[in-house]
Amino acid sequence: MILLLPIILPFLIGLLILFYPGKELKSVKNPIFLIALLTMLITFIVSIMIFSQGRVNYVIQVVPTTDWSGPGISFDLIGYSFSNFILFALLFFGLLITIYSYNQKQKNYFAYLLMTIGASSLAILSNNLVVLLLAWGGVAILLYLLVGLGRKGAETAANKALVMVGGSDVLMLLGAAFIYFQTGTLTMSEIAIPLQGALPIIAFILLLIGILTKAGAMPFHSWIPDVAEYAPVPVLAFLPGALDKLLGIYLLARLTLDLFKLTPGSAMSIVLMVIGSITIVAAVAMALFQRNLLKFLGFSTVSQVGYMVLGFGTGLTLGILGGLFHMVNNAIYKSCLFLGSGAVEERTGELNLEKLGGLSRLMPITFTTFLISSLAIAGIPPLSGFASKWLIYQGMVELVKIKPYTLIFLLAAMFGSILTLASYLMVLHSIFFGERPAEMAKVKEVGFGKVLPMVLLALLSVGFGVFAQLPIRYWLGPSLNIDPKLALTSLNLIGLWNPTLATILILFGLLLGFIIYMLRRVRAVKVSEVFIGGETVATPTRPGAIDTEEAKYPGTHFYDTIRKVKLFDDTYKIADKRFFDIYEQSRAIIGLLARALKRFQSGLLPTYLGYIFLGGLVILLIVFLLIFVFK
Amino acid sequence: MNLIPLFVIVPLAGAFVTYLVGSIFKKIADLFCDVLANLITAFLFAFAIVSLFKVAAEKNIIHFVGGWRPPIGITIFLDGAGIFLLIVVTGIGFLSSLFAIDYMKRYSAKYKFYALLLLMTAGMAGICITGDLFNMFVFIEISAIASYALVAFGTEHEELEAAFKYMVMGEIGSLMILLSIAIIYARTGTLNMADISQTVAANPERAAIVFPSILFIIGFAIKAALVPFHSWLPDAHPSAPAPISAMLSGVVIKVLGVYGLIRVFYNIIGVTPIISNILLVLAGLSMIIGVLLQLGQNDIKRLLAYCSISQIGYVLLGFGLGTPLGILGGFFHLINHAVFKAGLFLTSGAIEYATGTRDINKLGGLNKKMPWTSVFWYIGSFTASGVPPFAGFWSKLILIIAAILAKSYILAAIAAASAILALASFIRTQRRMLAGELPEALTGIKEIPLSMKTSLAVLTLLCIVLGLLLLPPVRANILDLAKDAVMVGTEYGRIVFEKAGLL
Repeated sequence: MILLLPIILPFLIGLLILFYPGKELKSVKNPIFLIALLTMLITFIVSIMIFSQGRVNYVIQVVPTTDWSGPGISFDLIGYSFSNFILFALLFFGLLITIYSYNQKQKNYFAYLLMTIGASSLAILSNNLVVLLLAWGGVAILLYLLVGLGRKGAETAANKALVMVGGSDVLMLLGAAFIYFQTGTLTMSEIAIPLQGALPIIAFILLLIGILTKAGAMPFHSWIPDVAEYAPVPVLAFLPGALDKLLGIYLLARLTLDLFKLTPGSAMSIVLMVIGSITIVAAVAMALFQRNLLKFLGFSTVSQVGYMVLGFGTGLTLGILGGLFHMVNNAIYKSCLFLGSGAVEERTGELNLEKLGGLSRLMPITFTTFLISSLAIAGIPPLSGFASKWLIYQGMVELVKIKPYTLIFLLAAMFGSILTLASYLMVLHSIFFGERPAEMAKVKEVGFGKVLPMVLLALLSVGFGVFAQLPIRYWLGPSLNIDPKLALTSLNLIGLWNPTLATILILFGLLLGFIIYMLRRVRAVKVSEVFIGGETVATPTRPGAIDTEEAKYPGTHFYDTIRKVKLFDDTYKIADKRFFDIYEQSRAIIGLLARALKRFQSGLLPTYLGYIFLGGLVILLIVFLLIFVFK
Repeated sequence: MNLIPLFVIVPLAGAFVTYLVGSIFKKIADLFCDVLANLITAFLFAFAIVSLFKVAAEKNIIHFVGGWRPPIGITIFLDGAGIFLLIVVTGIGFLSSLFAIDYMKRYSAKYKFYALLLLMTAGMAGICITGDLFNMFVFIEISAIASYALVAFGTEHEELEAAFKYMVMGEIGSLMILLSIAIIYARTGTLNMADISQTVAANPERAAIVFPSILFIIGFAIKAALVPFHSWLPDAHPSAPAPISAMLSGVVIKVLGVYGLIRVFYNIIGVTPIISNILLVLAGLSMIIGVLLQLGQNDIKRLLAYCSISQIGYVLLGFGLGTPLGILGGFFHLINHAVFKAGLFLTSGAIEYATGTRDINKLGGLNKKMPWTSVFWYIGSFTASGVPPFAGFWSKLILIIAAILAKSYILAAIAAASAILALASFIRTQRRMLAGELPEALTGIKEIPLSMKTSLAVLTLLCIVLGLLLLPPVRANILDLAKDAVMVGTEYGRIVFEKAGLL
């Protein structure tokens, strides 16, 4: 019964809020926010209780198998170590986002947010494919509604998101039907299909498309950057930042570990790794040239999904563990980055990286959390992103031992990591360093309700890096049914890297450097010319002046040199025309088809009669041939 | 005393009375007709529900017109499939006439409208209960002729043209059916469905019924608007007044086309693999071509009309598969489509009523001014595109699973692809129409009146809850009943004869 609470409670309260009179919320301290916060708190506590309870099952037979020829559909919820952990994470992020949204004005925002949480809880706990599809579709509609609340032009983005996510839902339905055909059941825990032969692979791919669209891996990613540009910021932090990854990767884990048995180095494993590595590199390459902060984060999110898919693609314990750990870490720092961007936008009203700058002094907390998260996403030790990427790399190295050619995926992942660091340096510079626009002189730090989630998330990023053993040993290892001992030994396998020890050493080194610096008290400062990696810099018009237009060097231009290479530039130009967007491409093809068909709908009666007689004649001919000639 | 013939008698008499009163007492005509027509449709719906319980208890109800037993007299036979269709017909009929109270104020001669509507209902009710093939043809003609007149009801240039096309093509279909009935009569010497069924089953030489089978397929395919026999529908359905569009798309194509097909092929002359394959090909073509034509339509009623072609393909997919699950899915989608398409057509009528246009390029931002109507449209279109948890999802789920279990992988894929395209098309429409900025010309629009709102609210509620039809206790008394009636196949004849006490 307790499993029902995190589903029904938020959903019902959300529904009630929907019927609360009025559209805009008046004062800052409105009852709706408090109700939403209270609901989330209770649900969060419930999730902790579920987490501590271990395995719980809750089944209501809705449509029994026995009395008809169709599939048995049962409202089947399962709370075991893995789903409990994901549920806990989901509600943790939900709680933080609710706190962050304290000054949100739209009433429907809270309603949809709570309903999203209810539907996602259902998706996580469901043990029946139909119930899962139900929840999945519900989340898609709510995403559509939430994105639609955003800034002007959001409808188009919401549109695209629903068509892609809702469309992939239909493909998953098809996949579920194939699974039912092969196993005779829709109960997920009873399904274990070896991934061999045409039908299992078709079913696997259909479900995979749904998952990848949700999580946002290439080539099904294209709704994320669009949504990122228009949706309300907390929604971004919660949905593409945390929730979609939680749901998508959770299901990917169940797909590759439970429903199907993915063997390392098999064809599907390679497919996953190809998708993963292309996503990593291509998305971050797109991110490098974004001017809109949120769109940049959107592409960066897509890139991070690549690591998770890559980890799962190895099919090896270490890789899967790494993929899962990376999913958790990514949710943490990506939410923090989105929230930080929201804070910047709230205070400056600006999201264009070219027009931002010099905010590090004015918004110190936002800056610090943003910095930590950026370094974490770039995989700088000892932060969390490093630990999880390290695990994924280790998994890949194991695989390279079996299949040497997979080395290329490892290299792609590492290269992507470098580009990530590069792209975040650009963003950090653009927002927090460099020239501060005059109109931003009076910018202040955001309120407590916004600072708190950011600080918590940044602390987690540090904590999960420095004490990486803890989440792996106590949460992730048990979630995946890895024997704690095995988890520990596999941790010891991680090269010579011991996160805590390394952190101590790094801190010691820093301290040493600081002492030396203090002891010597640098007296003379050597002045040298500005050097930016060989780039030419416009010389200031007068000595010491940096306020002229020419002297500025916005961070967004860091990598423009890359575009000077013709091959890259051409590729980018094609990408800008949305050539790689599967949504736009299918739209173009289907539009062509539809226009061709419309020609036949001429509106002339004789033509229509012609179709009828032609159609009738064809049927007649075929039947007579079949019956009297070929018999 | 068996009251089943009342399904035909009451609306037929009602049509007569409304026309008579309307044309003589001009002053009270509108009010009188509003009340009378709604009372009659409400009665029919209530009577259908009562009959459902009876059918659920006794499996079928039989009545002999004039006391003549088969094969001599006309038999009236109501089984699970018939009562299922009757509930849909009378239910949608009632909600349409309720909607019409306010909506039809835009037209003159409201009484003529009600008279035709009742005539159409009488014809369809007759199709559902008759056990006689020629009788069926007569009822098909009654409802078809009423619907030709109703399509032309606005008497504008476009409406007349559409009605003319509809009539020409519809009559070709009717002729095919008539010709086929004539051939069958020539071969078997009887018109009683049960008797034909027995005669055909007793005769192992099936070559004689090949030609009439094909004529039946073509005739009913025209009535059901299956690709490539569909081309009258996109003109005819949008031209009618909204309540009639709802009836035409919601029930007429199903009763005249799909029900005719399943009754004739499953119960009378028997399904052969060739026939079911032809049905499946027609279903696949309708699903995908209908939805492709639906994309990019700017006239909302035309868009809905194309959507009907695609959805009727889904319904036929279930019946073409012929498995118990497929047939159940077919019936399930049939009722879902009737509900959501009626809802959407009525909503489009409401939008036209309030704004005077149905071109999505001239609309926008309606969700601010017409929140109720917008919610109705949102839910209706999500149901139409098979988004969970609405009813359309469940029937598509059943149909896709049934297709895969029958190893029709391609049809399952087509069904899935059409669902995605339908979603894309509906989302585009509601973005242009409901979201965004309100055009200046529409700043003065108001929400629709109560009678329209009520009927829409009921349909919208049904869109949400109809998924519950799958629950075993409900399913056993509605969907299973209909499915079993079809699954008895050519045993139909024996059942009727047994019931008549002739065996």
